[in-house]
Order: sequence, then structure tokens, then C-alpha cells
Amino acid sequence: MTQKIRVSCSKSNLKTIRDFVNSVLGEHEIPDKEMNLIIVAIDEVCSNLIIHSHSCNSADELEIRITSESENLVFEIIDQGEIFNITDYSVPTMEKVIKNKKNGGIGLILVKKIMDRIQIEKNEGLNVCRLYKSLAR
Amino acid sequence: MKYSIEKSEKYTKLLLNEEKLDTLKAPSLKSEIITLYQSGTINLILNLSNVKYVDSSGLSAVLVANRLSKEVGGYLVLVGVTDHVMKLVKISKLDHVLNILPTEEEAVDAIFLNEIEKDFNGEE
Repeated sequence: MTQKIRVSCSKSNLKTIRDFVNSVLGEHEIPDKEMNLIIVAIDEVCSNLIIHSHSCNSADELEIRITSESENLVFEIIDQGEIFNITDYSVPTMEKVIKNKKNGGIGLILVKKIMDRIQIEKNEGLNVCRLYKSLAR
Repeated sequence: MKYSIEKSEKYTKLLLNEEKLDTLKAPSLKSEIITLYQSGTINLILNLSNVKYVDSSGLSAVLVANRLSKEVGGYLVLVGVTDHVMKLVKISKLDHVLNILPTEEEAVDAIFLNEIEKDFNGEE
């Protein structure tokens, strides 16, 4: 089953996205701690896109789709415009982040640690960032 | 952003009265932290007991405090760290970098101990 939401690229919509992910995940038996981590990961990717790829331009939109198949969850974040390839991005280590006195990159460290797999696809002008998470323990 | 600040001779306590420390709230915290250190704070106790949700911008604000604290030779302590926040702190390995204690009382003790150590090392 796939559920989706479409929002404009405004920072205030991050809460709408988090609420949407929370309500979809609430339909599964996911421990609160795990659920919060997944919400953080989706929030990080969306805020990166809203702030860096779309410069908070509310005329642009993001679509978030969540598909659940047995114990696997697939999150798709779809936008148009300049692609931000998270899989190409060399995530700094936390030591480097602290040493360089720049705090950028923490979000992507979190996303890569929380999610099982990340895939980027560009298709007919649409960028799809696909994040996989297995609920099997 | 809602918070309260209590200053005493040896330390400043900052209690966040927000449930979410995210992209919308973290910039205000960063700015308050910078102001505190500019106005002479050396040791800071950051009480996060009301914070139930944090993201990278929230962690980034904490790292700003960590950096400024090191610059002034101070001691930064996080107290009341809730489960979710602790999970993210551990995932990002910040638990190896930050001083985290359960309560404000323990943080005050740690600060006094650190001050004594600094005095002792200074006299050597």
C-alpha cells in the first residue's frame, strides 16, 4: 500500500511531513524509538531539499510516498529541479565535522546510519530519493 | 524559542522549554548560545529534559556550544537527555565528544571538579 503527501517547499511544512510520516508509521507496530529515528531521517532529506535545492521557494513542491510491503518500508521523496545526490555525497565523519568547525553534514550522517539503503533516480525531470528500511529484527 | 537562563558565579544553566529542537528552533538556540559565551559564560549546563525530538540542526546547535566552550576553556554539560535525543547522540557518536550527565546536580559537581583541576594545573 502506498500513501502520499504533496507539500510546498517551505520550512514550515517540515512539520506536516513529520506528522504524515508519523501517522503512516503509526499503522505499523514500530517501537517509538525506531519510529522517531525514521522520522528524523525523512525530515533530514526533506529539509536538505527544501533549504538547499529549492531555497525555500514555496512555488516548488515535494511529494513524499511511503510504501509498505510486509516488513519493508520504502520512502520516496520526489522533486523537480537540480538533483541532490545523497549517494554521491561523501559523508564526513563526526570527528571531521567537529575539527573543521563546520556543522554541515550531520544530517546526512544520521540518514545513512538510520536507513538501510538509499537510491537516487532521475526520470523525466523528476528526482526520486528512495530510502529503504526493514522492520525485521 | 522558549527557554530560561539562570546565571551563577561558576556556571550558567540553560533550560530549554521546547519539545522540538529542529530547523525552526535550533537557529534561536545557536544565537542564544553565542550571546551567552560572548557575555562571559565559561561553564554551561544545557538542560534538555523537555526536548523530545531533535534533528541535525539541534545537534549542530549543541556542537556550537561545545566549540565555544572549548575556546574559552570551559565545561559544557548536557543534562536530562531523553531517550530519543540520546539515540541520535549515540548514532552520530557525539556521546564520545560531549559531557552528558543525568542531573543538574551532577553537572554542577562536575563543573566544580573541573574548576579545581584547572586551578591545580595552573598552579603547577
